[in-house]
Amino acid sequence: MIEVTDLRLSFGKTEVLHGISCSVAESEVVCIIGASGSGKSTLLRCMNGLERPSAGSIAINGHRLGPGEKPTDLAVVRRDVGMVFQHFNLFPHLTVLSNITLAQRRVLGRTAQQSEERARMLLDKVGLADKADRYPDSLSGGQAQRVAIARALAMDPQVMLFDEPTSALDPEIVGEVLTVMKDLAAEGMTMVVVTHEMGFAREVSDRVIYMDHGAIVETGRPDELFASPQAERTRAFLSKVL
Amino acid sequence: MFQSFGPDDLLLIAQGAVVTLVICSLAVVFGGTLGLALGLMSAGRIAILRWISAVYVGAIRGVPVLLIIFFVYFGLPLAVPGTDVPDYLAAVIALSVFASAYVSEIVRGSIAAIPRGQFEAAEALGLSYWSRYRFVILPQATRIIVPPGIGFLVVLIKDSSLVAAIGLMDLARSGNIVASLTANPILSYLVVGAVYFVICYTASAFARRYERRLSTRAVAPGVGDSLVVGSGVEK
Repeated sequence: MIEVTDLRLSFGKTEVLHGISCSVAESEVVCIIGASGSGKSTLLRCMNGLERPSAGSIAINGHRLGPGEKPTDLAVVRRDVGMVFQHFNLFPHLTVLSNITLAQRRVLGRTAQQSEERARMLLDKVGLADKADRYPDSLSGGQAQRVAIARALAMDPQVMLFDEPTSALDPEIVGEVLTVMKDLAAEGMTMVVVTHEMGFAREVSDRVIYMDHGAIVETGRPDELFASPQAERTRAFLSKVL
Repeated sequence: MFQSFGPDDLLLIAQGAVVTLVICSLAVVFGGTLGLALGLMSAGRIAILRWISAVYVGAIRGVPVLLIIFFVYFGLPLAVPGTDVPDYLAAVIALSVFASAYVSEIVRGSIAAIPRGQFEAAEALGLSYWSRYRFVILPQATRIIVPPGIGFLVVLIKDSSLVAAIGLMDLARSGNIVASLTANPILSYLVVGAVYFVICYTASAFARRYERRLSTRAVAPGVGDSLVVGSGVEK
């Protein structure tokens, strides 16, 4: 589903991703862990074209991003890939409902009625059916992030990317967002999650990728990687965060 | 030989006020549209468009309005021989050019004040460039544009008095005429000044009402705190 091949990315003269290769299968849940500045968010942002790699490529469902990509491929990737941000990035001037219907109408060409039905269904799913007419400002962080998840899901994505979705939340409301994500994983959604929630990574993911200094250090099933990390750097990192 | 200040003089000043209002309104429409386009160019990713916009804005802002008026009035007929630029047309073109440079800067600044995450979320949802701006960025930018925009409008109305220099019978020039007809410059200019004040004060009052309306509808980003809004949702 996602095939990353020797991906390199530089900001100015500094290379921040040094030739990353990895893949994600359909219905797989992959968590990317690592210290701040290890390039894990940057890697994730490459997967929907928010960052443009300087070399290598990313193929999503056969649509290739990277140097020499076709604009049509970028459009398809953006349509097929949903993204949830650390700071939610809801549109503050639109109601919750309009946040979820806007792209359905403008990108997928759904009618007002179709998009609203889909939005209400998803709001119900994330437990916020009663907030449809509120503005994002009046929501708690956990509610806002669940709306953001609903907004991404409304586009019927093949893959969902999560960029530290709980890092901006108070500890006591992290759970409500993780619950929504677990349900999504259980339904078979392909997910790539950059996270500091080791509990979530261990419990929900099929595979964990540990990144350090712009490179993948180690990849493995969560039970193996957390219990017996092979690389010294992985051990050092895990001993700090667990 | 001098007449005393009478209804005819007031009528002349009123006609001048209409001229001022009309040329300023047209300058707002044309200059605003051009300024929006230039602002979008300078906020965009295409280097050549950013450069064109920067050169244009820099040049216009570095030149007195009076010179822009002269350039249009005397220069256009030279550039395109055989054309005759009527004074009101020259005034509208010159004021539009002047306004566009400042509107461009206001638009650019307001777009820069929108948090990056808003652009990214709109991009990640697959919205096209036009949809991103039309439905996500500009509605938020408008809230930031209006207060300085009205501030500039007041400047524009006052600076439009310079079109009197090419003989257009605007509010300022009608004051000149009335002053010499009545030999009562103080009273004439007091009346003219009062009319300018009323026009400008009305514009400012609109801006204040708009800001109040925004603050009662607690939707980020508010005026003034635009640079520090994170997501606008964490409370």
